[in-house]
Amino acid sequence: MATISTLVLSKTDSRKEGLPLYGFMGSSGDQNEHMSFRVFDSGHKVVGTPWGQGTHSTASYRFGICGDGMHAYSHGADFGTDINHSDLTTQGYDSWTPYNKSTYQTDQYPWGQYYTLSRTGYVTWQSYHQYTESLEFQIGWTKLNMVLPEGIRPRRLFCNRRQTIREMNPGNNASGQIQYYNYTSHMPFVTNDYAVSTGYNEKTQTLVMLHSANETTSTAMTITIFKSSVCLNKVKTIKEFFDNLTATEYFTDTWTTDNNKDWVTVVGNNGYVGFGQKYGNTINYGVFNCNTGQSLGITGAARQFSTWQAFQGSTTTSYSTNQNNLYYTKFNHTWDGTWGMIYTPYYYYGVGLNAFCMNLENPRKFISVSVTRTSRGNPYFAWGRTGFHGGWSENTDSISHRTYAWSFDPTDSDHTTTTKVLYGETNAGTLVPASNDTNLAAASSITSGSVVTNATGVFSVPTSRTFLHGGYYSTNYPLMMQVNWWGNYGGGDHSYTGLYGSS
Amino acid sequence: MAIKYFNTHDGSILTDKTDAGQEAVNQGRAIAINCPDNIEDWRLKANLTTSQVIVYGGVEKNEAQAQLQRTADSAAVALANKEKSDLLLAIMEKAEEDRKALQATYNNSGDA
Repeated sequence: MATISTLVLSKTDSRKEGLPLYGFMGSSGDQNEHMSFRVFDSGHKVVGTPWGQGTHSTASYRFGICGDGMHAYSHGADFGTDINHSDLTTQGYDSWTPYNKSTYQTDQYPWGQYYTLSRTGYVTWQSYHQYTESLEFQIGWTKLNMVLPEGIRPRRLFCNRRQTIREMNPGNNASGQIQYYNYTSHMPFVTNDYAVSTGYNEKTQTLVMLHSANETTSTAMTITIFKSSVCLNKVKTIKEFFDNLTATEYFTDTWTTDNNKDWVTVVGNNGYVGFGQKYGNTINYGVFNCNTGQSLGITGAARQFSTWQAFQGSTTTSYSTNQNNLYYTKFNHTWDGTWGMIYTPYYYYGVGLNAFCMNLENPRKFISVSVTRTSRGNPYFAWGRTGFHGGWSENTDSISHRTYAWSFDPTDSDHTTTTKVLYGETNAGTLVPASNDTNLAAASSITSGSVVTNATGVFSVPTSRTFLHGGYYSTNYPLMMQVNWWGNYGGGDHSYTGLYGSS
Repeated sequence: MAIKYFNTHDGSILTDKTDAGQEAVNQGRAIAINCPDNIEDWRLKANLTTSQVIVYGGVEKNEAQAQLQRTADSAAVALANKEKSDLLLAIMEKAEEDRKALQATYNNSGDA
């Protein structure tokens, strides 16, 4: 029998969500006659609340019970129409309608660059007026890359710039700081003093910062490791984290870059840290031992695991912060927090995927993941327990919708062996055939699975059918969107009933 | 000419790197094809039946010209889709008009 103490002790973290959801918007070409907005779970079952609109002719401005004031519901208003039918190919952020489908729209934080969306399907676009002054445009790249426990996305927003961490109300806003802290006095080496990337691991309460001589092209780097006895996500003041440091170390190195705002820092549970960065048309990834108390020294050479690895899939013309701040290299992670992804588009400002996926227990385990689309893309999201999906917005008239979906083994953290990747099919009978999988580390032994060599291997994701229609009976190209809150894990509104009896 | 690797699931380009590409070939996930030089990867696709490479826009076009062609091709597809959509809408509207006419005839028949 459960006692009061065990019930209290087993209380689920209030931040923990059910398995990932995504929004799905479809419409007729002019969005006047028909538009649908639905929210689906990772099994593509609908969980949203129905809403509708009341017009069957040209709506000069906007409609819908959501009453949104932006172009999603408008015709001829401020920033154009026809999100669904726009074909993102080479356009940037100021091509407002197609850029909704950019890979750059979303990351581990629970909002899009352009919008926010509730799990019931209430979507609202933010104003594009003064968009170039917004948080995501200006300083989205300063957000901390967080490695978090199962089912948890960042619920506090910390931005690290120069030598000050500032906390903001989470979202794409400029509504004032909650607090700030200048940590200069805690830095053991202050030669390079512009913070260009920061990662935090909640399990080990470790903050790893990358500082350079400037925020643009300086190659001089100082990497500082702060371990604390308190958790940054639990403290009331940032100062508390630094007041309770248990170890501080640093090392310096020279890292080639064409824009320092593209660095991504991923702090693994084992103390190894992955650094990713877009450079030209590709991304590079390097892993460094950031454990403290091991006399590892103060040079990068003394701490680096293997060598810098260039992305191993196909690359072509693609852009990043060299073109504008909001095209910063992204970080996301699976729902269970066991695998992460540093990624950019394959093509121009938002189509396809050039990614490194790394194990978050051990970032030395990583592979390239590739999708070489050049049009009709969509963003990518956490999907299922240990996977990602997205990337497809072809016309669903007369054909079922698909996603690029793939998943990993959450226990697969040994970097000396190959990585197993599981993917979907267009035919469920092929995915679950009348033959056995054998659990050998060979692709031929796995149905719809591959094994990929660590570091130098690449996995190209096939499409799998969601068996959804796009929301309109004729031509339509659905948009996939990030949901703010996937529902309380274990609560009545979450969408995952697996792991029965656990909290 | 240079060897590049293409996915067997859809003929799309995978990589030009030998180690990564050859691993995929060994697992049946890719095929290797000799490709013309100086063509951007996004323009390359494999014909999985003939194991030949297809160059979007043809090898004689440069990237800018190929993008222009793609824009035109995309517009043509969009136009065809719109025409189909408009046709369906017209059929529905005609059906609605016919229904209303039939309803009016019925209402005027004195049986209502």
